[in-house]
Amino acid sequence: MIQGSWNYRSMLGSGFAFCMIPLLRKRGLSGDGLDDAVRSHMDTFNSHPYLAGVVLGAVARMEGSGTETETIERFKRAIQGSLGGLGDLLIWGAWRPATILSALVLAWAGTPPWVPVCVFLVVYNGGHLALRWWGYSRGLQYGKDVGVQLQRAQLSRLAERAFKGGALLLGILLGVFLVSLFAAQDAGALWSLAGIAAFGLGLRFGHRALRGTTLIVVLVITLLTALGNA
Amino acid sequence: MSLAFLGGLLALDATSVGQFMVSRPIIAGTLTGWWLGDPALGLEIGAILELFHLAGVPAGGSRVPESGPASVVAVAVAMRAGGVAGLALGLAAGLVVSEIGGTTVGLQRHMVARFIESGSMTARKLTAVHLSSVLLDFVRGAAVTVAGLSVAGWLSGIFTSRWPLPYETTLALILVGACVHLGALLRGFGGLKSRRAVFLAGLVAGIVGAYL
Repeated sequence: MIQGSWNYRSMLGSGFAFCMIPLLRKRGLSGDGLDDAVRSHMDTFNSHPYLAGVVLGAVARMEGSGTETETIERFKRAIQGSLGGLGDLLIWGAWRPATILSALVLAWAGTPPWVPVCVFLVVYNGGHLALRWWGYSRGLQYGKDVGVQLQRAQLSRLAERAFKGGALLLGILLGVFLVSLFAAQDAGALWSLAGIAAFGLGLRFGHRALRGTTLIVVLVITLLTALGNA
Repeated sequence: MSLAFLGGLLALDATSVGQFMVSRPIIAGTLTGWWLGDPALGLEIGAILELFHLAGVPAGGSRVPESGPASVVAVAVAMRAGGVAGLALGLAAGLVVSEIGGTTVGLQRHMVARFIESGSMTARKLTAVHLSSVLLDFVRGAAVTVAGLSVAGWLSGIFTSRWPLPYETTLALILVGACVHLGALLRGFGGLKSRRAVFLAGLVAGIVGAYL
C-alpha cells in the first residue's frame, strides 16, 4: 500500500513515511518523537513501487543503528533514481508486457478463459512478489550498502531475457493475427498489408503514436456507427 | 451497483493497493464477464482492449489510460449491445473511459497533494491522509465506472442496430489499430534491429501455428 497516497508533491514520500510508522514504533518511538521521525521521511521520494522495499528495508536498518537523519536522506536521494529506472525497465518495460503477451497468445489459441487469467496472475505475481521480498530483505540485511548488492544481482540481465521472450511472443501474436484474421477476409491481402503498415508505424513512432491511434479507432467506430445504416 | 464496486476495487489495484495487475484489461475483462455470466466474451473484449494498453509505461508517475474501470464498462456495454456491434461499441467505450479514468487519476493526485501540504504532519494525521487517499481512489474508480456505464450504456442502446460491418471485418479493423500498439511495444523491447532474430522466429511460429 506504499502508493496509497501517491501525489504530485511528494510522490511516494508520504507512502514511504506511512510504511515507516510501524518500523519506527518497533524502535520504541511514540508521541512527538514518532511525529518528528515521520516528518523526516515526508520529503519527495520516488521509486518503482516494487523496489521501494529496498529503500524501506535499508532505512529501517539505518534507523535501527542510529544513523543520522541527513545521511538517511542523502541515501534515499542517491538511490531513488536508479531504483526507479531499473524498476521501469525490468517490470513495466519487460516483465509485465512479456507475461501479458503470454496470456494473449493463450487467449488467441482458444484456451478456456481461466487459463490465460491464471497463467498471467501466477507467473507475473510470482516474479512481482519475489522481487518485493528480495528487495526488502536485501535492504534490511545490507542497509546503506545495498546498492552493491543490487549491482551484483544484475537485474538488468533479467530485463534483457524478458525483452527477448516478449519479442518472441509478440512475433507469435502478430503472426497469428496476420494469418488467421487478416487473411480470412475477402480482401485479406489488403488487411494484411494494413496490419503490417500499422505495425511499422508503431515501430517507427513508438509511444508517440499510441494516443493518436486510440483516438482514430474511436473516431472510426463512431463514424461507422453514425453513418453505417443511414 | 455491483459493477461499480468491482470498478472501484480494480481502480485500487492499479496504483493504490497491491498492484497485482488484476486491473489489466485481459484480467479485469474476464472477471467482469464472469460477474455478468459470460467469461468467454469478457476475455475476448478484455484481450482486445489489452492490445491498446499493452505498450503504455507508467514511468515516473506519467499519466496513462486507466484500464480497470474501463474494462468493466467495455464488457458490460459489449454484453448489452450483443454480437458484433457489442465488440465495436464495447471497445470504443473502453478506450474513452480509459482516457477519462487516467485524467481523474491525475486530478486525484493533485487533491492528495493538497492534503499532504496542509499543516504539519503527525503519524496519526499521515495515517488518516493515506487511508483516506485509498478510499478516495476506490470512490473515484467506482464513480468512473458508474458514469461510463450510464453514458456508454445509453449510447449503445441507441446505436447498436446501426453497426454496419460483419464480425470478421470489424475484428480486422480493430486489429489493424492494435498493430500500431504492437509495433510500439517492439520498439520498447529494443526495436527490430536488436530483437530481429527472436521476433522473426516468433512470427514464423505464429504463422505456422495459425495455418495448422
